[in-house]
Amino acid sequence: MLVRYRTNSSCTLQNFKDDVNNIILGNIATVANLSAGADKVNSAMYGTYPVGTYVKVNGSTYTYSKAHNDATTGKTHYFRLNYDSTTMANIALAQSYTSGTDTLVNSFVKTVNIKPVPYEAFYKSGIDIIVSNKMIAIFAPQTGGLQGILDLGHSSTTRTYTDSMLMIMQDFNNVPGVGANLNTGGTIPYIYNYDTPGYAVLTTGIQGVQTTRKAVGTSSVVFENPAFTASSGASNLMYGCYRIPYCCFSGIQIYKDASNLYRLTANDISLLVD
Amino acid sequence: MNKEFFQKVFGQQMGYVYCYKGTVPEGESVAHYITEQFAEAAGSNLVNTVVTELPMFGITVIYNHSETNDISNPNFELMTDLVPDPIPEPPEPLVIPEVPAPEDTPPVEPSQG
Repeated sequence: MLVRYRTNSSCTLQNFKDDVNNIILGNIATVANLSAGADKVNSAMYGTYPVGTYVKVNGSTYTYSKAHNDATTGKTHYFRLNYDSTTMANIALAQSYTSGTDTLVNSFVKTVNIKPVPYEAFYKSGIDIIVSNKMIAIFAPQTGGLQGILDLGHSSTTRTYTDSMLMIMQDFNNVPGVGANLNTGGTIPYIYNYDTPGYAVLTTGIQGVQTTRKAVGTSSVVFENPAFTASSGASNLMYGCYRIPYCCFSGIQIYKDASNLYRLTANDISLLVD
Repeated sequence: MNKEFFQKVFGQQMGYVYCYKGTVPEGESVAHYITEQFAEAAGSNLVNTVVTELPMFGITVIYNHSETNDISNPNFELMTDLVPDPIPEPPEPLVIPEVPAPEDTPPVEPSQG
């Protein structure tokens, strides 16, 4: 499910917290269910909510569990949205969690400073949130945050060292193959590393074969290649994440694939909405 | 095991690494137990840490993603911060004082006689 969340000038931090929380938990069936701080005319929803994937695990913090989309892996990891007085200050991703003390175990935290910006038609300003069984992604271009937490596929390493995480925090400001930030911006908080050797944090990025765009009659076809984590060790498939041709779309846009499934694109990356 | 080693292990250039000196009760998860102990020592459950065992060295360490070292608990012995060392200033170039060129000495005239 993709929610193109647009807010009005009276949106409070609590409105923002409530809306994000309700989007993650599937309490928003239509944009009419968003808070009074939302611009309901210009907000939009696509796709379907992944029932049974996300659970809020604590009453006082915005901490959630997420079950891996491949049930055979049996993995559940945790993430926490930390707010300060004005913004979603940071996002933490954790291998595990202790409910009694509400403590993340083996976690990585990323500063994001995402906040609602009143909708302006010229800029189409707002926050795009994907909540699927494969990922949660929060794209807030006006405040510079393009963050995704995505499921990973197994590698030989993760099958052997089974405490390894199968989720990654990826900053999609980092464009694959282009510029100073190429192939970076990814962090797996806890995975076996043969160099240590032992469990460690893995800093990584996006790897995927560059694709092309071909004209077909009066339309064109965009080829999507699966993306993988790029590191010195084994690579892992990034579920629902594809590399698309260079500068294929401008800005952050949506399109439908051949199966009529929606995609959200940014920086030559296409994310599956469902 | 120096700062550079731990920067690679934790992929960070900030935060602090502590060696865990306590024991873990039998049957407890090492990561969960040490994390909870650390959160108690830090006085907050909102810590972001990674616990890793280093079998080559026979120790268990915990990395805390924090800009300050606020831990004063004997079970957590500070090993290093991960802040990069400042790059030393390049040495001043050696200045060689100019030596005045020796005055030209006139050639010795052969004596006549």
